[in-house]
Amino acid sequence: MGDLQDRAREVLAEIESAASPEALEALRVRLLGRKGEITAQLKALGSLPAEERPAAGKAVNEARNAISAAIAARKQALSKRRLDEELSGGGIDVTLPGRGIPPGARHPVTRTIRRMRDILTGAGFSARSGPEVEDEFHNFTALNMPESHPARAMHDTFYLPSGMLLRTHTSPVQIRSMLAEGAPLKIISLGRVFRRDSDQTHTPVFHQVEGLAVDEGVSLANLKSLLHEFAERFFERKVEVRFRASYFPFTEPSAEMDVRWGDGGWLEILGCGMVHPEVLRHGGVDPERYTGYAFGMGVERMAMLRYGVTDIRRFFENDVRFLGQFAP
Amino acid sequence: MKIDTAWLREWCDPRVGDEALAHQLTMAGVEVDDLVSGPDGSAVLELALTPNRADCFSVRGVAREVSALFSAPLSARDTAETPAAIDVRRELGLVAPEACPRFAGRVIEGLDHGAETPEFIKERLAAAGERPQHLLVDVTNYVMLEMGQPMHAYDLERLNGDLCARWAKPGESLTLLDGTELKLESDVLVIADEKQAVAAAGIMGGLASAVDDQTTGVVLESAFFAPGAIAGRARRLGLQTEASLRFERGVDPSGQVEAIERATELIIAAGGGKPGPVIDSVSAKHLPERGAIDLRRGRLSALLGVALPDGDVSAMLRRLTMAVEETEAGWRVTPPSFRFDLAEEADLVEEIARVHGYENIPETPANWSAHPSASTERQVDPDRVRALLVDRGYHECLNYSFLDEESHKPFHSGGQEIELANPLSGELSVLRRSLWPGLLRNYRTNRDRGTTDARLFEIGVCFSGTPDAIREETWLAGLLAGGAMPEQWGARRRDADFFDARGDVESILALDGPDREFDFRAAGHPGLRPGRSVRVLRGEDEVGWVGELHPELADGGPAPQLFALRLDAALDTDEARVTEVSRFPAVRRDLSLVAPPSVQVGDLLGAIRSQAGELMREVIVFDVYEDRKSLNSDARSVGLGLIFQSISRTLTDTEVDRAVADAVSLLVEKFGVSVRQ
Repeated sequence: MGDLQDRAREVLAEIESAASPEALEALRVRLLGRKGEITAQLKALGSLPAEERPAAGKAVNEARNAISAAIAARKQALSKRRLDEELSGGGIDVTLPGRGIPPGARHPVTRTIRRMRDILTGAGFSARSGPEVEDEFHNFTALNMPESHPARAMHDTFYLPSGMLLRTHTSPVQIRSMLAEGAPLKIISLGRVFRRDSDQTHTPVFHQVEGLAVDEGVSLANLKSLLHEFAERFFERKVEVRFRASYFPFTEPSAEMDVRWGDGGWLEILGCGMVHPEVLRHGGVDPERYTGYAFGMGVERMAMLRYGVTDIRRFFENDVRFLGQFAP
Repeated sequence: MKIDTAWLREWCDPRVGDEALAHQLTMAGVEVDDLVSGPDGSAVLELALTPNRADCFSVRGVAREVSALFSAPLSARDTAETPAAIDVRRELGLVAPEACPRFAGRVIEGLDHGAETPEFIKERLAAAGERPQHLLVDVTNYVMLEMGQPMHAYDLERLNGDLCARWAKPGESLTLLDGTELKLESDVLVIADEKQAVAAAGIMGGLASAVDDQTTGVVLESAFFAPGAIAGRARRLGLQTEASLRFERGVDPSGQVEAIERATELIIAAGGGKPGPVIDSVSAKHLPERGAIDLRRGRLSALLGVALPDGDVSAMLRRLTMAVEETEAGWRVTPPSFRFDLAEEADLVEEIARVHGYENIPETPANWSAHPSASTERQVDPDRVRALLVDRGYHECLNYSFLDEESHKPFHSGGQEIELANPLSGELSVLRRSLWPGLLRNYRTNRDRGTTDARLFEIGVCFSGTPDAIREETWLAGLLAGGAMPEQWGARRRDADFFDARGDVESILALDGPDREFDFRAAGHPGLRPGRSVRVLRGEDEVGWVGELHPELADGGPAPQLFALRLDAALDTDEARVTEVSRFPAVRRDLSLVAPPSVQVGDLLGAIRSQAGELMREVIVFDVYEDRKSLNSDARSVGLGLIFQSISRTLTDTEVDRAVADAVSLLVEKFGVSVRQ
């Protein structure tokens, strides 16, 4: 028995030092193969006296199991070593840039519109749109700006020979929505508007986002709350706002909202007010039963403030070095 | 409008500093744009008045506002009446009382024609931005600034008899003070003597009757013109004056005589002279009336979202010089004659809000009921298209909706241009029917600035139809130029071509869902290179185009690839309905065909798909090869992969062979292709 144990020790050392999978395989065949040394010992058990068999059998089996396990372990170690050797030669220059097309960029104006839409739809408003070529009724008359109203002149309107016009604000959508859907109503209208004006802070085309809420009991206090919160959501920080009295033909009372800006001064960002009863009537809504508020802001102006753009005309130049500064 | 604060404080002194005064006025809707220092060292308020507040177009008007806001008393400054010293008069006729219901005036004779304008008047005019010129003119301007009533002074000697206010006669003309020759239209109101028009009423006086340094007799005019009779005319004539600005917004119809008296006092003090009687022609029924307005307590608190004590409301209304009567429901309020902007309850609510202070109204979140919002799968959101293109390397552009006719013309197939009646310039004169001209301009701008690779797109409204029946549709357009990929080590430089553009379009159309009902058909477009353009159809409906810019339009540079899609039509999808997927293996057979040059691959695919049995799942084009030498002709070699699969069983070779043979014989018969061995 002592022989077997010594032999096993020798063999295990041999396995441990096998240098390649091939050498290891040859060793396995020599020990455990059909004509192998251990196999021969197992076969020889039959010729032993019956009383010796159990002890001898146990010893041979133990030796065989130990050898099998050692071969398996050595095999794994050798193949791991071989893989490591193979991989060590196949390196690439991982510092090279990747292949493909990097993303472009969304225009800051549509990006701003989307943010405003997201913020306001979260507050229960639904988006509506309307035609860019409008008639005088929807653009002016229904908004309490009858012909010869001085505010009409302030709008610097583009006209078509047919008498139609390019809408000067998105407010006509409010009239169309009231007429189509009635009250209660909470909508935002977003889109292009047109004024005959062009300088560093005015382009003849720009974008507006307007909101309209018509319901029982809608108040100026509600409007102040919504717009203050809107400003904080939009600028993603606490902002100080103030509302001051102003004038729009389509709201009464009317207000402008200012935010406290950089140097401590106030900056006007939007106009708002309680919907004028005449406008509700034009929209087919009973002003005795319902009240409403409305607000509107210039998208480019808000984008200029948020992103530090100083000339509105950059938005329409479409230089990719400008556009590319906004995340996709 | 500029107001000297020293002058203002003579009328009402709120006993606060100029800054606080300016702040309070601004918060209450009388916006102080700037606070500057005036010529005599006092501060000058620069007001940006909204069109409703015509009553603030004077020192007295702003003083009334200050009085209401600060509860400060208005100075009692009754203008003394100067009795007539002579009986010289000019009658003032109301020929068009609907337009001029009140016409006051007086003659002053025996003036010292060399009299200087007093210094204090000159200074205050200068502070208000008015140039002092002549005693009589300066005094009328001074009275206008102080009381809000525009006036005019006529040289008595240069008038022919009495005056009247009437509509201009057909063909009548008038030379104004500034030399402008007016051809008067019949909706322009004039002041006329017995011979001719002597002033464009409420706008500017005539040259022929102007006062000058020889004038010793004057007729003063102080009238009320209905806003509707003046509005729009000055603008149309290009003659917006201080007078027209006030008249078209509304002048106090009760202030005419007072203004005459004030002017008389100032003229006589500086230039002597003897006044005739004040003539005050009035057509009472044509004067605007301030009716009583009921203000309901409940309505006030509903609109503001806060309930104010009754006493406070009454006090605020009275401070605004309204006549107030308490009623059961609230208040019956009669506004003063100078408030043209107060016509209904909501107007009074605003008065309360602004005097109370908008900052004192609470912020209360609305508690309206929560309705789930709409979310549709039937229309692809244009924002999804934006995201897709941006992720594929495109920059989003925005261009004006109008452009010049020349660059626009090649990009729409005929049709009359839709022109603006009053464009800013010829470059911006027609409404766009296509987004391509804008993108091409953006491409050129970027190229000129050194960015030669371009992937640009725009989503916006295009106009079609005729000038009298304009249709609006939202389009997507894209432009690719330069490299198919940015210059990089790992991909060979290749110019973007038609198939890059088409691939992007196919990806956009895939947003519509996997049911491929789109068809790309070779077709000509005036803006695209012949043989390299395709019309995109959905059923028989044209929804877009893909192609290479026509070389004639490419400025000699490389021609970009263009695409355009009518978004609403292209992307009105349906909700998805799932079909079972097969668990059995698919079988692929490749066909290598030689097709005559006239045959287009799209036709081959269309034929195979339309004849496909239920076993054919997909056809792919894996190769297209043109090589004259090996094919010995202009024919092309086309490799098609046919993929077969059954939902219910594993297919046998025999049935797949049969299906392939059917497809081949179809192509051979219909298109004359041959199978390559």
